[in-house]
Amino acid sequence: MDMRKNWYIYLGVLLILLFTFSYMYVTNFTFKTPTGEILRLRILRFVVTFVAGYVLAISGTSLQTILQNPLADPYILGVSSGALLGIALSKIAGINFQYAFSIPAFVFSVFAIFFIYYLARVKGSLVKELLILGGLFLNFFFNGIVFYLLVLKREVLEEILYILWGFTGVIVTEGELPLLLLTLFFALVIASLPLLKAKELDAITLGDHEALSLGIDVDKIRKMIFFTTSASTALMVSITGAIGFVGLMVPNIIKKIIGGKHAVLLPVSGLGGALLLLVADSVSRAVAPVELPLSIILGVFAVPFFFWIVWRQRNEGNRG
Amino acid sequence: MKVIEVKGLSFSYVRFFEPLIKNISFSVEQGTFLSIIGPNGSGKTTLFRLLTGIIRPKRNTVFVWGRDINSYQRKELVKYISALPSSEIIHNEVLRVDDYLELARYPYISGFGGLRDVDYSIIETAKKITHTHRLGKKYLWELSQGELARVRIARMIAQDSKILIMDEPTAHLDIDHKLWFFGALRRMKANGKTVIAIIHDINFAYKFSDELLVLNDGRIEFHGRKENVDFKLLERVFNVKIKRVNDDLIFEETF
Repeated sequence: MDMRKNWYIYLGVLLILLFTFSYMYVTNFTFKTPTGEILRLRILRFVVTFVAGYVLAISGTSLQTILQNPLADPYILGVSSGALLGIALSKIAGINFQYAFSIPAFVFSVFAIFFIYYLARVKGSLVKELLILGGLFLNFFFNGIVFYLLVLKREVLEEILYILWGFTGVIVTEGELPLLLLTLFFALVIASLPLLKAKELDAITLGDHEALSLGIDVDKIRKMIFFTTSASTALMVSITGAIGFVGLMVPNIIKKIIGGKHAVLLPVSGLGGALLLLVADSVSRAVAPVELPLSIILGVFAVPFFFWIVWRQRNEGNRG
Repeated sequence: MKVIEVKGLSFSYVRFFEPLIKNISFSVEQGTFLSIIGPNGSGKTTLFRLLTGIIRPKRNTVFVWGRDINSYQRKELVKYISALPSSEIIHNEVLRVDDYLELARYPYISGFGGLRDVDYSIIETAKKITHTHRLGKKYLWELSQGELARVRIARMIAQDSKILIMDEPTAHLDIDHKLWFFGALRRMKANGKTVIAIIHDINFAYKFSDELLVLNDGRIEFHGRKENVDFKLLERVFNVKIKRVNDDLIFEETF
């Protein structure tokens, strides 16, 4: 049986899982609906986690397509750490208004993605190794500056620690709530824009030259994806901090199950990312006396996943 | 009418390096079958990329239908030029043959519109001509080299462009498919298309095309009707001895 023909069954299963888990998440696995302030906080945390997972997974999916590399994701390519640097710089500069951080965050994340792209482009084609290595070193570079700044100004350290590793339990005052919701809304909408270009992204999986021959303006699509991924990632990083590996793991798993056509792949990846992040957040609240940052939990998931990808690629070689 | 005109075209990937294409000029009339031949590294594939706009040439060096190639939107250009790059799509796991052929109609549909009935009937015709109607539900990676080549020809037919430009379209084909392919090209030419193909096999190029363009070290050594080609020149460029028997060429090594 071709698994890809039945993608709607898998979508159904995913939706049921998502709804069940969302309920469990809000009730904190007690099956008792909380009331008042606790309910409000839980729902807020649920929404933030959901949007973060959605944004990261969709960004990962579209980056993997336009860079033709299954390892591309905002965290690995240095987009997230670029955003972090923007945030750290604003903190150091004494700005204490969280919702203003998304602008410097965006500036640095856009810089990161274009830098990596032009670095890895040799004689008109992308060199896969350079893409990943470039991301690795950009990460080192940005993180190095962030830590240097933090060492210089220790009082910020405690505040920013969770931002470095990802944390969705945001605390907002009544007055800030509309701003938070607005930020989430924009992140959601911008991250969904690649859906409008599903057909073009399908064509780009054939390679740049073939896509150009089909009449796709590959450069335009690529720039658009760079913009949507870095903008939505920067918006989310300014709220939740840098969360790794969601954009890497989810698209690869979903692609394997339902195939790579973007009209289906993009939204399903988004929902899958939301589910994964909700699970990770539940684990983070359950396993340790203090809540663990999300990247740490996801990093533990990511190791077996990485071996799975390597193992798959090794087997692909046998297909001839 | 000159459908493609090249005027003083030079190109190098890296600035200040010796160019791969060195100040070449030529033009192609409508309804011609032109074969581009030349030894490895002579700049054939680079020329292919420049003629199809896959790499952008300098302004006012390549003209398509009388207009600078850079002045076309990508979607518009494909209505004039159907390009067949050397195959890189063989491992694609995303698209089925039908999806791929539907993308051939991309230039003709507006932003959010789907394919119209006329598009589907054009795709059906293309599949019939290339004997690919049974492959529709297969994924591209499942196809054999011969099947893939036929599917890509079907794509070109479905694109219905005025000029077809190809980079070694027969590189991986068995002899029966090769002969079928050249026959198909001649039929497309008879329908008023202009065909420009990089052909590795000089014998096939000589046998099936109207004009030859011999490229060597980024320069044009010869361009004209194939009857007028100087065999001494071919022998020098390809470093072989050539005998001609009717329309076939026979090659012998020189050393």
